[in-house]
Amino acid sequence: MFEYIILRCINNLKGERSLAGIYNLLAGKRSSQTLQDAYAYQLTGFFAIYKTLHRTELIPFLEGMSQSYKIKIKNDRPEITSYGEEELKRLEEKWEPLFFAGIHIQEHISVFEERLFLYIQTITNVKAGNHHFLPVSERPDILNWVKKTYKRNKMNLESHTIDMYKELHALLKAAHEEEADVFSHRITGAGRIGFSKQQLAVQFGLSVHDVHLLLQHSLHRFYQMAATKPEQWPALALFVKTVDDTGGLITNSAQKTYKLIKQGLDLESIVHIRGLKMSTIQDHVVEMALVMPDFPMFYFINDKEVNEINNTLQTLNTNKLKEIYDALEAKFDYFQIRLVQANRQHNQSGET
Amino acid sequence: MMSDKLENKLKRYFGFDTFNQGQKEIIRDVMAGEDTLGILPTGSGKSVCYQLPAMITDGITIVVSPLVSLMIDQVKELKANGYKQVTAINSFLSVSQKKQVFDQLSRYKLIYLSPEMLQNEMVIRRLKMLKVSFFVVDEAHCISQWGHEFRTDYLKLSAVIAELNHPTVLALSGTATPEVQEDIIKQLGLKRMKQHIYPMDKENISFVVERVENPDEKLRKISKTLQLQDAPAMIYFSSRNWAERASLELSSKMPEKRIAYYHGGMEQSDRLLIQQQFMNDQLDIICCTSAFGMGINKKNIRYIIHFHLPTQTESFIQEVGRAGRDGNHSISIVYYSPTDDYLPKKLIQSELPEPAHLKAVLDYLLSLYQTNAVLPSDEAVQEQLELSENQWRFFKYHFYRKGLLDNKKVVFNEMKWKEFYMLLKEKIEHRYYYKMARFSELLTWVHHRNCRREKLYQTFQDTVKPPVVPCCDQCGFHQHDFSFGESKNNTEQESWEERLNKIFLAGGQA
Repeated sequence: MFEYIILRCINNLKGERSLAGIYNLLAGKRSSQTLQDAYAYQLTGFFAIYKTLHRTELIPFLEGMSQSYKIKIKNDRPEITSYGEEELKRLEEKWEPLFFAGIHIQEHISVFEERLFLYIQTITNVKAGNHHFLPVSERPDILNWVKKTYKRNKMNLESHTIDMYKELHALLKAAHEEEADVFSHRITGAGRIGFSKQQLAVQFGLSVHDVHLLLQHSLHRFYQMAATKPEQWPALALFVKTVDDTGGLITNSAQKTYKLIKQGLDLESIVHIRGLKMSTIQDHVVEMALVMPDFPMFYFINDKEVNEINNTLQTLNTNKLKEIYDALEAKFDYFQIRLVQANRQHNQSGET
Repeated sequence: MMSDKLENKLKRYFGFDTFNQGQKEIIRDVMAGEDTLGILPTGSGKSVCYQLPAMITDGITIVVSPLVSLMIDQVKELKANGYKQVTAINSFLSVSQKKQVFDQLSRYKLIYLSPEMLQNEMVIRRLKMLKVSFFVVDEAHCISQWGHEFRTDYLKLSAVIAELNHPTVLALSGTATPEVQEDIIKQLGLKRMKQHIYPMDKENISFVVERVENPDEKLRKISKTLQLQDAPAMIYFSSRNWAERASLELSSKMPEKRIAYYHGGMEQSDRLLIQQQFMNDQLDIICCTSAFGMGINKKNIRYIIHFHLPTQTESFIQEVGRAGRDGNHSISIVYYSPTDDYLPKKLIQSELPEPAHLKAVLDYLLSLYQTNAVLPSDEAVQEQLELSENQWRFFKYHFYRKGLLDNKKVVFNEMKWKEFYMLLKEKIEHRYYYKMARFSELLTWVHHRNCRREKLYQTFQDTVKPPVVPCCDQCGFHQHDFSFGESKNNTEQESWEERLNKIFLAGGQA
């Protein structure tokens, strides 16, 4: 699965981004550039699905792919070869459809994961008559939440446990065998302690990367099922965190900037108040255009200008800023181009 | 009469019928308000010595412990056993979590604190508002710079004890030479301390040292020893890399054994799972660094194997002490090859600052002084100067002591600074030689030609108990003549549906 995702990234990035671009995407680097790339190259699902990846692990992996002629690396920018494209097709058949939705749910996944595993450990232990056990999570907020939720459900523990089982069973049944193996052996419950990622890799003949991604994939899929159809998956819906009101902005700093814009301040004043560079504040604005419904473009650029840039974007069909800038004969600055680009990407992604 | 009562309470709170050696004597003195020093071997239940008094006495008990993970483990264990009036305050808590704990401080009877929290005046103010009955210094050897884990924060404990109106003090350690014991009493500023020193030799452990040529030979010998036996084992390594590598190689040599590695560089969730698997007898062999073992309460460990030696005898004794807590026969094996001297030396160097660091740190302070800036957070300084936590802690302590720093402000005086430079440089060199000397002491033991048991405990106590198992290789024990019984093959696989069924529906039966 790791190889598929990397090939998919390289394919979509069309040789326009370096290895760092891929790394930042998978590790979920909170920068406007990374977010914008995710939209521009249709890779939003993979955002932050591998936060524990080390850059040093990615380099030899790409080198290996290069040595087997699936990609070639020019000036640090990987590009897919025609053989790589065949490989991609084969892997696509094996893995798609995938249900990663990184950019939308990544911040909820770790809470969902820890709640789910600790809760399963709790109810199955209690059901087996074992009230003393060492929890698999140490986060105080998770422990408290599980304690409360358990108390609410302990009256009908038996049927509740069976519901949980049925939902997990149905979802795993519909998944790849590998995914079902990995997920079921990660669970800790009555008398059985879950496997570490490295142990799962050995047990099922997978790489640790694949184990990580298979687990993430289960979690992404379960989360979305539970969040969108809670009536169909009532047991799993317990673990979905109620959505907060960040307005969809990913970076905290961008949220602060947004508040100031709402108060009617112009960018220069915000630069002054926040003590940040203009380029940083502009990054925030681009992020807003990218993720927020009804973003007020007219604050920054008029409709005519938007149309002109849009037309050029459409004709050129590239995400290379320099090319766009030159084609527009330097009439607009990079900020304006990125802004329109972001707005366009937002509309194309079909979000409301 | 009173002792009857104590045993009843022990039964009620911990479920044990009788006390281990030393526990009752220490508890009695502490309950009578005597400042007490207790040296009890690892695994003999030191924590009961303060947990029980805390539970049955009015007022609160403060436990200062340097090991945050150990602290968290103990709180978890007490809570898992149904005792809720316990909490731990350490740097892992977020600001809001700390606030929550402090707002409800009076709800707790047993409060674990990391030593650096006691540097915080707000913490002291809050504690002063409570009735503190007992003040426990866990791992008390950390207060002595001759101990194996010197912590500068511990030197401030005597001041804290005085500020809290001198509650009854209990200082506990598992490993302290007479030299260190003396130092503990001196540094705590307590004149009269009742002393309960128990010998730390274990009657149920046999000692073996085997000389080999190279690491591969160690791995071959280890698998030859463990392959056919039904015996949980821990193997200690001095590096994360080696723990991982050996775990893989041993797994391929012994496919029927369940082997895993554990070190401080793993993801937290994986660490918890591995630790619990070992406790739950789901693993046979664990390849680990010294990060594993703190607070591990597994009774049936049969082998403690040292693939690499630690840097001194105290650490070795502590690690070996994790074997055979059920009282049954256990074996300690050290595999030693001549090139091994190199690794602990490297470890010692990484623990200590170098003279070059000293110059860089002083330059840094000077630049702070010139720009009239205050000292940033520890993390920021460590990152800026590329120092380890231990190294920076060492510097900071001496800066404050010698007045180069005062309340986060730099105090500059050229003469004084020059003097300080010479003094600290010498101190660093001294500590380096001291640590190297402690390491060679352990090496001497490795090369010792007579009874290993006597020699190992020699600096801690005058005599050793006659062992109830074969003593050591020098006394005629041949580990290969011995077996803990045939191993079972436990590596059968379950399908995902079987596993799901058993976890959710079968109520935990295998």
